[in-house]
Amino acid sequence: MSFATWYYPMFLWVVAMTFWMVPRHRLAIILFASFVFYGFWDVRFCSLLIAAAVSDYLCSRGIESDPPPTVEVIGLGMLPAVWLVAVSVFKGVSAFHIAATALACLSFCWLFIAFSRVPIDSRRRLFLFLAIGVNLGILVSFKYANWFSAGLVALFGHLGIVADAVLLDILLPVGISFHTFQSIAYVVDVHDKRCKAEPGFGRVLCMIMFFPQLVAGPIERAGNILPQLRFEKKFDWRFVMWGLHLLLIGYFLKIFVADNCAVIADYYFKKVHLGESFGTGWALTGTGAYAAQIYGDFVGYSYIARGSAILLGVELTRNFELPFLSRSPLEFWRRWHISLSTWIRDYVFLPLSLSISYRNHSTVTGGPLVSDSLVVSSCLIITMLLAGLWHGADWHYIAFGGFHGVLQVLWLVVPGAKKLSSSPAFPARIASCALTFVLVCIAWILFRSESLADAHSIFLTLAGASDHGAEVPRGVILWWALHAAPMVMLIAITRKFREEADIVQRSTAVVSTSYFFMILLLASSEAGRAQFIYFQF
Amino acid sequence: MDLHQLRFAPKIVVSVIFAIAVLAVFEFWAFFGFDESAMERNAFGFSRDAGFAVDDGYVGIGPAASRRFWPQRFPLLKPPSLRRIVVIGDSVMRGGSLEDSFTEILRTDLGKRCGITAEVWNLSSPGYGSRRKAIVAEKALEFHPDLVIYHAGVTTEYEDSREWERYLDYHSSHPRHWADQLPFLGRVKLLKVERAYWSWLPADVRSAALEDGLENTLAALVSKFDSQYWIPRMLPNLDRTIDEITHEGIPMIILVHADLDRNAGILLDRGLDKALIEHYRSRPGVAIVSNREIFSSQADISTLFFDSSHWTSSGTDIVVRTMSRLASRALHGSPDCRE
Repeated sequence: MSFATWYYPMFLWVVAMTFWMVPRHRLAIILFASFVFYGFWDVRFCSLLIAAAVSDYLCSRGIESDPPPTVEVIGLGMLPAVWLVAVSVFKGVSAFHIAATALACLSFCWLFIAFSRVPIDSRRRLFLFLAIGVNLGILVSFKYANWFSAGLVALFGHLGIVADAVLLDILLPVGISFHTFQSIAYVVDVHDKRCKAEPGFGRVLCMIMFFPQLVAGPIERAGNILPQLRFEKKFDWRFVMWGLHLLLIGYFLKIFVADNCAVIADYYFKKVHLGESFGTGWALTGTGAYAAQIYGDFVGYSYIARGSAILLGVELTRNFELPFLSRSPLEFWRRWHISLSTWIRDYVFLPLSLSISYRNHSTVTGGPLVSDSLVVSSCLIITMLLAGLWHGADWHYIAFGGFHGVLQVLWLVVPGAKKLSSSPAFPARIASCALTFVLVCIAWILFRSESLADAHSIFLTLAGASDHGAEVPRGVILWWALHAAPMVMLIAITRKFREEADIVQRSTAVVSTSYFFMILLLASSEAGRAQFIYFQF
Repeated sequence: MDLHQLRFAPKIVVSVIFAIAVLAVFEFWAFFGFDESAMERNAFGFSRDAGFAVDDGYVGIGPAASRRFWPQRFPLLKPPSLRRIVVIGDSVMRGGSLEDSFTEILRTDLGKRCGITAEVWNLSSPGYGSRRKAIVAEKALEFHPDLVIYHAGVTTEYEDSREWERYLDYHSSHPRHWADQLPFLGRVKLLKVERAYWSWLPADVRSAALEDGLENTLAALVSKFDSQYWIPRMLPNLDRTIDEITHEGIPMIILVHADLDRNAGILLDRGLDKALIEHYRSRPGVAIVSNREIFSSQADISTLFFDSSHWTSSGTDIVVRTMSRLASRALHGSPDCRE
């Protein structure tokens, strides 16, 4: 179920009402609602979420204390297969898929029981690897298998070996990258004793499946979300008001800004992919429209997710802090998709850089083998390449990550760039913001293009090297301006705060006027026209 | 739990109440201030009154609410010597401009060749099928025409059916349309659609963004040109229109549409087959002629069409000459026109 459908607000209202009116069964209500929510896309894929939850629950318990008894391991371990069998009654599931799932479940159980017999010191690490392996296995199988397969065929082709691609008919489950990263974070945190293993399976399942953040984050840390999933709060009318406030801003950004800017951005990038040539004006407008679209889409989604969660008394992590006001690429990633950037920092960058730094000592001189800045730079680029790959199995996503990695390194090593970004002077503030925005937009071209060749052609157009295509009609620019300008105004009004929702800190007149115009503009647009961009990740 | 923002909840309540109060004022203003409701505007051509405005003794006709009528203006009360002819049809009868349209050429031809002083109302809109033409005819009868010319074609039944589904959906109590149906918010949306979406965005940008589920469903169901499917759906509406017009004692001429098959070089009836034409010919007060019959004596029919449906100026002239004779017979009892 998408947040942008007309029935989601009704679904949310029914869930919230039931949730507060039946306090003894809140966990069950949220779990049921989450299954319904995810089942709207494909009820079969709930088995993946169950598999991740089972693996996280059992492994985290194994990491922290004595592993659960064999009966419980087998009982829970087979749940994904049992789910598939159950849904096969009303949704087509082939015998092959059931058999393959059952085999995978049995393998997991066998490994888990085998690891349980290992001494405690080694066991903790083995359970950690098992849980990470299950989660990454799901991610790689469903998201990257075809890409790897096609890549191998291409590689063999370059080597003169003819190979047939075994392209699997695999659907990409919605939001798979988000819940996989959340699962991994949980077991790593338990292993590193940053949080305790949850003794109840239902709560772990709820952590993975909590519907407001299930399909596009924020990627929550167990330390933040698990205590809240005890649902011990009493009803507070202020939750409702704050939730409605977040929902209004979210829907305004998604339906008015993002979906309308998508009309232009989608047209431009699709036509570029079909080989049509456009002038510089079109390239600028298409890129600008996409910048507004992705901002409205993802920031809007995050507000809706937070608004939905707070109606249930759960506070999710803030995922954005006015990223388009960033003064450097480093700052951009501190403000954009914060839950992903901090995840990558904590679970990839820091372990990687610390591990290399630890080994970066000459046994002869005792000094470092390579400079620390080189180590940090390399780790930054590797981390950002992985962040790019996280978004999708395609080279243009990797290029997007790589480009951001290079920008971050430049801002670390080039003194002028660092100085510009930290200068308090007004012209420097404007210049650094504008420069960062332009660089981020260049990265969006890599991100949005359907291939690297498309991105290359757009860059040529922007550079004026192939400016012989269609010019942008004035109406297209007006349409873009009409839908991006209110978003820019909202950012401008809240520029002194952390996010758009902090508009409540302005006067009542400003807040009321903003509400009035947001409702007005929302009503002027067609809801549910486009899916959220980040659902595909 | 770090929810310091909760302290702003009272301010949110006040702001929400204020914003909703202002919206309510605008809704009341729109409800009482506009003659035409937002629902009426979003009528997909099924509103009886859309496109007609009686003001200061004149009838103004113009584009509105999915009716793409040419802007026209006629006195509400005509002198007895002036004949009022209304033409109801689709894009074929509407023409590329009012000056070059069938109606203007007919008016001139009636005056020149048949000595009939007439005003010819062009009440044709692209994509209009029998259901919407019936509603236009109903409205036209309010202005007491002396003759109705009705263009019957089956190829627009597809659009008609699609738009009817949209009309029903829009006018249902579905939550998706609650805001659209409000007098003020509905009007704001309509304003944006008409003034920004349609005016600013080029057609290819609009069509790329539009994934019309209804269009796809319908296309999967049946072809636009499947006459066997559409004719039975057209006939009840056509019968109703004929009944209403003849009941008022107003003569009617039905022009049956034909399409040009350029590859075969032949004309295909896209309205009624021969049996049906004979059936309607027998009805009192109704004259019927097929476009295929009108063009049958022409040596090169391909020069009469600029695509498969729409006539060139020479095609229009030929149709007009036949229609003038029929109009003269309907109005005067004899085809009293000079050759």
